[in-house]
Amino acid sequence: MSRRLLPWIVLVVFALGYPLVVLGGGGPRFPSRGDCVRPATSDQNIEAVFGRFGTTAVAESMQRRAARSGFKNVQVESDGCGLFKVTLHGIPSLEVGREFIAEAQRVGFHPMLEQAP
Amino acid sequence: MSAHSLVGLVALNLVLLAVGGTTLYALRGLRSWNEALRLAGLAYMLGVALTGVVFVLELVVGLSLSLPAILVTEAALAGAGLLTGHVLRRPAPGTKLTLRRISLAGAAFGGLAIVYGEALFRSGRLAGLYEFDGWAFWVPKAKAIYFFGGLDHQFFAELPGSSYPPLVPAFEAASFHFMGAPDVVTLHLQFWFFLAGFVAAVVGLLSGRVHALLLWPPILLLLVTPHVLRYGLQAEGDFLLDELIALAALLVGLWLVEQRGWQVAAAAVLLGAAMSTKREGYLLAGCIVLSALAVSVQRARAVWPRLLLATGVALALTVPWRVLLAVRNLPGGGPEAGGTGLFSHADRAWPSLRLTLSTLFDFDIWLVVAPLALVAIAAALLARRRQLGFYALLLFALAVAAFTWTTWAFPSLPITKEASLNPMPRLTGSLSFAATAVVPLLLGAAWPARTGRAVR
Repeated sequence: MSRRLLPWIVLVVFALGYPLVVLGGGGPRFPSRGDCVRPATSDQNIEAVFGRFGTTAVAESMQRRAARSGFKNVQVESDGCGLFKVTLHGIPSLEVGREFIAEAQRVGFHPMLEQAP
Repeated sequence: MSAHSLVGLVALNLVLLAVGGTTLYALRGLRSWNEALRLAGLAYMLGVALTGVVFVLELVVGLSLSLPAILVTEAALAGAGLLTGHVLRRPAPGTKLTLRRISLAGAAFGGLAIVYGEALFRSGRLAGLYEFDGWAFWVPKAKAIYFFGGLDHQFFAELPGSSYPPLVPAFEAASFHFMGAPDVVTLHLQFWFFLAGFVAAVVGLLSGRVHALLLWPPILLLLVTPHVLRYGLQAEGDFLLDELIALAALLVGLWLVEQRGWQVAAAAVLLGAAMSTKREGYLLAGCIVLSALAVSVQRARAVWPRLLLATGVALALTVPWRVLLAVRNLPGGGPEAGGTGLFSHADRAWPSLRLTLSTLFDFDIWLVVAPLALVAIAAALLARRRQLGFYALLLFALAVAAFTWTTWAFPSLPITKEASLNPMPRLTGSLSFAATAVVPLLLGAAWPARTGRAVR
């Protein structure tokens, strides 16, 4: 009887194990806006984010202003959390990024270095 | 996602299971509740296929697909199944349900599949409608059926994919009715039920024939392929087509070996539904039927009439939709290049074939599903299971030819694996699913002595 039951017990343990573990970790949580900002801490996938905006019109206005100040290839992207970010990809290292921030601040921008997703 | 939507979706799928259960009872009878449980996946998929085909017919003749209409349709189908089974004196399950013996390996693999299903369910229940085709026309069509009751002439003519039959949109509309709202998030779980039904159907059909060690790994391999993980729950028609075609290919393979009438009858229903899901269904159904005809040429007198009759029935189920397309002057979905246009685009032939093969064997899309299928075919042929081996080999070759043709005959499609530009990754899904369904059968045929009931 036990040999007959053992496979069924294995099946039930598998079936119940996963949901119990998942439920033990709490219900699903949507990311907050804070979760969407990942400050750059390493030299990989760094982007300089000029700002986040609720509409594409405002974001594009910032993009144009940055372009007029000489910042090429600045793009408007969805940040995945309901906002549009004005961002410059391709910054090779934190050191270069810090120099870029200083340069941008001299012409009135305040970008942040972030780790691109 | 809400509990109400989830309960509604579960109710719809229980109704589909009931319809399929009575259909299976009419086709072959069910000797016990254990057998009914084992074949519940097949019953469910038959319920999906039959209901889908009837939904399309109802929409074509102008019936409104309201909730009462859906319930009446399902009650009529279930009643017809019960009546047919009774008239044909099919064996009915008694009252006894015993705990069936399963192997430890089967339980372990089954447990993994359950955990996978639970995780996929978890990811699907909050999935957004981001897929382009989904929000561009599959779900808008479903919403039109849900809100207007039927096929709005202008709306359906102007949307992309106007030649596609409304089987999937009809199911999506039925889901909305059962959920009580056009909940496009929870809708993804309807495709979870289709996938779960497919897996249960393959396992149920083969568990008595093939050892768990040969049955489960190919299925689990398919489930963890990047393509299935990424797109398996999309609110589109591709995966349902794959599942219907794969089950039909398996049933035809079983029928070639065992010659039980219900197998080819069930395959006919599934093929009819596949052709009513997407236009590629015609091509793939043709591949299955041609493969079966070719390998049964020595028994042509016995096999061909029944196979051709089943094919005719499946095709007949799609005729009303083709008539509607003609009456409304809608495009039929034929190739851009036209009948002889292939010759003027001959330069696309080789790149199209290369694209087909490189997609099918792309580890980042389908892992090793296709190589495993070829190994299983070789094993079956080496074990002198020629009919089954050549059936699978021909099916593989014809499907590759068919996919090649789809890119060759549509010159506007660029030669790329990029799914948003060329449907090749989605197209190859049908063969990957079919291969997965047939591989355990081939392996079981190659090692019959060690794998329980023999498959000749």
